[in-house]
Amino acid sequence: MSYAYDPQIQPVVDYLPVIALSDIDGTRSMLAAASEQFPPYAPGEGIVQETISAEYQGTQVQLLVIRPEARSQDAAPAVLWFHGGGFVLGDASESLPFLEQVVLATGAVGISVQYQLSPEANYPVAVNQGAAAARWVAEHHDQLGIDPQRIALGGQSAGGAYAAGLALKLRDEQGPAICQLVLDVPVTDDAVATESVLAYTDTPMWDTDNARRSWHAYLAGAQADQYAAPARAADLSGMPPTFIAVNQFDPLRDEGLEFARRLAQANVPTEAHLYAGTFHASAALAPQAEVSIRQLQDLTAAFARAFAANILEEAK
Amino acid sequence: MIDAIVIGGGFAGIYAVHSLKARGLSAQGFETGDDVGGTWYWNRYPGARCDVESLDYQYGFDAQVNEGWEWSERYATQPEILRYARWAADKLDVRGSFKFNTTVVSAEFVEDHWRLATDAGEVFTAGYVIAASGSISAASVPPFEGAEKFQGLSLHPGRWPAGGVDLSGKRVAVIGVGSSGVQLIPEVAAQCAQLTVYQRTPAYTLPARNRPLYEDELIRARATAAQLVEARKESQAGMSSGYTTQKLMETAEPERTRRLDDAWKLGGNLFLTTFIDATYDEQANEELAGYVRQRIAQTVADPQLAEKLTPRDYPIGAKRIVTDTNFLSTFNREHVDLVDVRQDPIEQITEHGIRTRDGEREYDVIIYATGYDNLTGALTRVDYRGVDGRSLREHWADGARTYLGLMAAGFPNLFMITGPQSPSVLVNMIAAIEQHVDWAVQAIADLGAGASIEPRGELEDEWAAEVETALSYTLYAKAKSWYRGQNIEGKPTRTLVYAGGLANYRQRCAEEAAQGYPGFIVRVPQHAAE
Repeated sequence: MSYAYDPQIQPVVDYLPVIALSDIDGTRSMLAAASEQFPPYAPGEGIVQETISAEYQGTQVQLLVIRPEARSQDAAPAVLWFHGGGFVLGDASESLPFLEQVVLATGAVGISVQYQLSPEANYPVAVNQGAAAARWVAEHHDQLGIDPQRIALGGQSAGGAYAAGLALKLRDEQGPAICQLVLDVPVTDDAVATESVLAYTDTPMWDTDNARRSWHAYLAGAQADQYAAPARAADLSGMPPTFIAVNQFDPLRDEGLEFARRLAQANVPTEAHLYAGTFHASAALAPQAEVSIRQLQDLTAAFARAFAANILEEAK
Repeated sequence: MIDAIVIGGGFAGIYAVHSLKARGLSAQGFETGDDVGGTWYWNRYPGARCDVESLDYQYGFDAQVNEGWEWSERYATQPEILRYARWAADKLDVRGSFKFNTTVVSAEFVEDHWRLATDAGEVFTAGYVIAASGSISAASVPPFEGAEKFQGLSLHPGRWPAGGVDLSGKRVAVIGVGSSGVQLIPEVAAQCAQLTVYQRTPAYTLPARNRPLYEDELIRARATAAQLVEARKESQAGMSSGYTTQKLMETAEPERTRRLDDAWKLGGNLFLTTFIDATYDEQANEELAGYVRQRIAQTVADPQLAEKLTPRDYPIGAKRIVTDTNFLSTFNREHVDLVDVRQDPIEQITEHGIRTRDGEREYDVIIYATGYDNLTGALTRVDYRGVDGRSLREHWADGARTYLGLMAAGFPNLFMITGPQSPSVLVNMIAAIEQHVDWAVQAIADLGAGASIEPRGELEDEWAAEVETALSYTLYAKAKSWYRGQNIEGKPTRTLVYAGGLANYRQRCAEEAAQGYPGFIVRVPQHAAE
């Protein structure tokens, strides 16, 4: 059916890649071919990049790190970010352009986690890699030049499920502490039962079938627990302050909003924004649209506020 | 002289020829059919499927063997499994080593080698014989009086015509509700005008919940092929899936029912492994059986018919569990009915149909889904003669006697693949086949030409006792079944399956080989000993 897209979003709708998890191999090669048409990410002016192979208690994970070239005297905040791709697609380098904005705006060290994709690896591999990344980063804060009190987590789409699941896990396993959680159009619920996820069978970038298949690939027949599907958490209290962005014509809209509602009810400082006329991940695909700019700025600002607030807290 | 002859062109025969050739040994295979495939060549009946999931029911002897093959369904159909067998035979390049359309009718051990005669009258000699003739291949029909007089079409699922059978408009009888009967009944009902099922013992059947395989499952299988090979070797069932240690009797409601509901929804015979104690604890088993009975009552609309279809007098799993697609709901169809032959026994087959005590019904087609002479039948149908001309039939007159289910005393250099008293049908057959073939081919390579190996006679009794002991830890003995030869009239009741698990068994066999075959009499030719 037709959707009331934002007029500045509408033009890109006809030119989007077809993401079909019924053909994972095919979608992967299509995306790889498409990305070859563009130069790979190169850090902009004033930003340096390095790749770290981290290992924490036997779990290995690669971290793509970007930071301001000029190191300040003070320890910097850190953002640990999980890229999207329905658990089965994508790559940590895709998130670097977005993280660069955050780094420029906040002076943070941006860390994109190169987690293992499904179906080659299944839950809990990636969440455990995320936990290893968080713990390694906290432990090596001196080496990274970061402030262990100002580590934020975030992720986009399926990366949001990893980030929120990891936040729960770190809450339950005594840290390290997370000062802010930022979820951009997150996956949260394996039930695939909300009104939006059932209704949007033909929406661009993500639809009902992809939602089902992504969970199938990730869980491989296992039952999801709260660290796989954060919506399953019976108790969300004690979660870090959370910012959630959702797109309107996105199957994931309702599970994002419902997660925000439950966080708010659990006394977690929560902010949620629903962007009019958008589709799943439209901010990245139609970056010139005014609504996309707002969404990206809001996500960045959520980090900035958290890092500033934390400084005030420490100053007290 | 050929190093080894392989009898049978199924998964065991294909792999045996490949393994022999890979070690530089010469091999000659024989197959009665005109192509490879074995079980999946013969069992062409509608609805024939494997009850092991496709991603396990495939070769696993190395991580690369399945590269280039993709399964389409969770439980593959017979045509797809047959295609896979043909594909594997081509990939392993073994077809040229087989003589097709050729049945070995007799085999005699002479001095230090075997002399085999085929139905074409040809004679072949070889140092060793690998009997890869299958566990469930010798079709069996009880001696119903008058069967030969029936003027309609008589069929056995295991010898189904290659071109299929047009059943439209036909009045059909199916005798038997074992695996073949349960699989073919819904398919037959969909085609024919009228169907009557003759049932002796109602079966516990579990919904297979067959479905296409998702691409993510195929990608994962490729990515983890090496781990799967290892997992299978270490598993007791020859499968890559793990098993639970959760006990039903220690699981309170509502958790108990929740787990059973989940397993029921998931489908397949892994339902039996929802709780570990259901395999050995009668009370736990009865709870599990009760759950299935309740499902039967929910599915079959007519309460009297449901009751007839409900197994009550043996534990679930003690007879071969059956996985089905729409078996029970088929009995809700107008043109399908059931005769319980325990109440209304078959007296004879007539010219026009079947006469039971209560009367005669007329049919155009009778399907004898009456099973097979399992585990020993394929072996005793060949006239094997060992040392001093003693026949295997004679040796087994009081029941199968083997050591480790691999060899029989007095029958040197005759290796049985998934034979009686081995894990065979209790585990994933292909995993069991690979373990047996590996052991046999290793022994052949270790001993070389001119040598002989046979088990020490007294160990046959010891192994039989061990097989009985292993069974006694399970509930298999609580039902009359082909696991103990009880499906064939006159066949001695003797446990024909080793229920101690494939991993334990694998270790047991490996120890024999590692210690230089202490349980066997090995003779090495003079010149080789020097």
